[in-house]
Amino acid sequence: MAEISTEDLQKEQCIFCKIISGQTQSYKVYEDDKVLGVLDIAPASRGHVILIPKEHYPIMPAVPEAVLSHLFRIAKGISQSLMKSLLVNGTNLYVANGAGAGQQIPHFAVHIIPREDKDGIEIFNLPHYQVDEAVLVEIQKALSGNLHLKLQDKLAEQGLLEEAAMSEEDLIRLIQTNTKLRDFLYANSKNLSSALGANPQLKAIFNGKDIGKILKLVKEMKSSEDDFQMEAVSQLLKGKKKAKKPDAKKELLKNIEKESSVPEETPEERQLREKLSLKAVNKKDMHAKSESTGDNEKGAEQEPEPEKPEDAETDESPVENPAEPETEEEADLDAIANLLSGGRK
Amino acid sequence: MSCRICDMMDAEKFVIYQDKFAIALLAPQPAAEGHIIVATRNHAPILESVPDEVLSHLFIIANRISTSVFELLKARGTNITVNNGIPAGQEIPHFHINIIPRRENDPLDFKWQPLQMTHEEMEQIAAKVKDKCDYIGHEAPKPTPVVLDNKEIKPESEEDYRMKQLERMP
Repeated sequence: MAEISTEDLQKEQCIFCKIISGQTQSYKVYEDDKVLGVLDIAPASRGHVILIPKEHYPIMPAVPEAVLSHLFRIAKGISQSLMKSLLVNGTNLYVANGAGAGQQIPHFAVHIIPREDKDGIEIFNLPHYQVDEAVLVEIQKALSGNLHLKLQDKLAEQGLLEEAAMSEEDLIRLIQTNTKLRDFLYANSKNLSSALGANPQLKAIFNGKDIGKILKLVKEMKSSEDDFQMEAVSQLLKGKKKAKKPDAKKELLKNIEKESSVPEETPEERQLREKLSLKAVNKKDMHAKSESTGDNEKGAEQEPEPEKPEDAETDESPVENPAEPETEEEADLDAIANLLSGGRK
Repeated sequence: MSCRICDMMDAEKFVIYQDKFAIALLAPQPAAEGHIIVATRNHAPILESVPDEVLSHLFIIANRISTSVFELLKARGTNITVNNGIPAGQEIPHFHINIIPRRENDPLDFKWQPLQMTHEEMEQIAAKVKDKCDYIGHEAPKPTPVVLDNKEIKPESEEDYRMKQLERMP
């Protein structure tokens, strides 16, 4: 013999459930798969409708929100139909939650009551009591703390919730990876606070962080980027006369060495590096020779370059084959290209 | 004359919850301690003018607020009412939901005197209302216009009666 729980007992005795199942006669005005609307047999006025969910829920907090939203949409529709069919101008919606609030049947229901002028129903004219502001402030305090927790998901839905503060490391990583953010910070480094104020999302991210420290980091990142002029290098390789300083190549090689000192260094790269450092010395001699011959540096650079571009470009493809240099200079350029592709990984 | 609720919203007085569509504030002249008004952010005068989604959102907020009121203010129950239209007692022309916590022996009473109605009256009303309720949520189909037959109605020739007169003359 199965024990009947209190809820089932409640359900068995619940008159609304009986109406829904058809055990009890009723005057139905609206029905769908979730809710049922019937006329109240003890109405406050002609056309008083009670709208109930077909599932048994004792009070409003027990009703799932999907059912609630559907139910109140239908309530709006019923209110409109009442106005149209009975030619009234007003309706009252009324919910009683709990016996202390006047709930007579322990099954959640919304009452939709059509109202006319001077119909004698005074209960919905709420009294107005004067209260001290202090009391209101107290109540406000008591409620605000709890409410935000309860309503967080609703706020989050609308994107109005403040996002959890980002840790500083995460922020630094974000700046490192996100060039747009970095550029933005660099551009607005002088007036960062006002720039952040304009964008609430950024403001939330930077809230509570050491802005000075971050700006310093950004500056460092930017300056290292500037030194390592990718463009200048690629143009040199392609043979354009963009190098302004005579020792640009050397400086670039130095920088490349610096940048390329990554822990994962293949033995081939190491060999190249050693080869390069030797080569650097030779390059100096080369330059010295060209200067003495009276050609301007640009001309000197041009001579070795034009033959190289095609080869250099083809070798710039990710295939690393340092084992086939045709001339020393080609080898150097290959090395540069390889290091660049290696350093960029 | 501006709307009192919109004024309160702008002044941000006693706001306990706010989001894109709804705002909940403490009623300045409450019917009971903890009387809360939940209103639409955008001014909407009556229930019919509130969009469906906003309406359901508002009632869900009202539901949650009523549970916290129940817990925090130690109420015995809550009443949730809407006064829609002047005959219903709507005093502020801005749609709002009243959340009223109830306590023992408070001066409020929402019990009404039930009308005595006969079975026929109830049936009549049910039929009337049901007719309109069938189309809740979607438009009622417009009655198609009646198509008249294009039969040519021959007018009687005008001369007939004159001819008749002539014929009568001796």
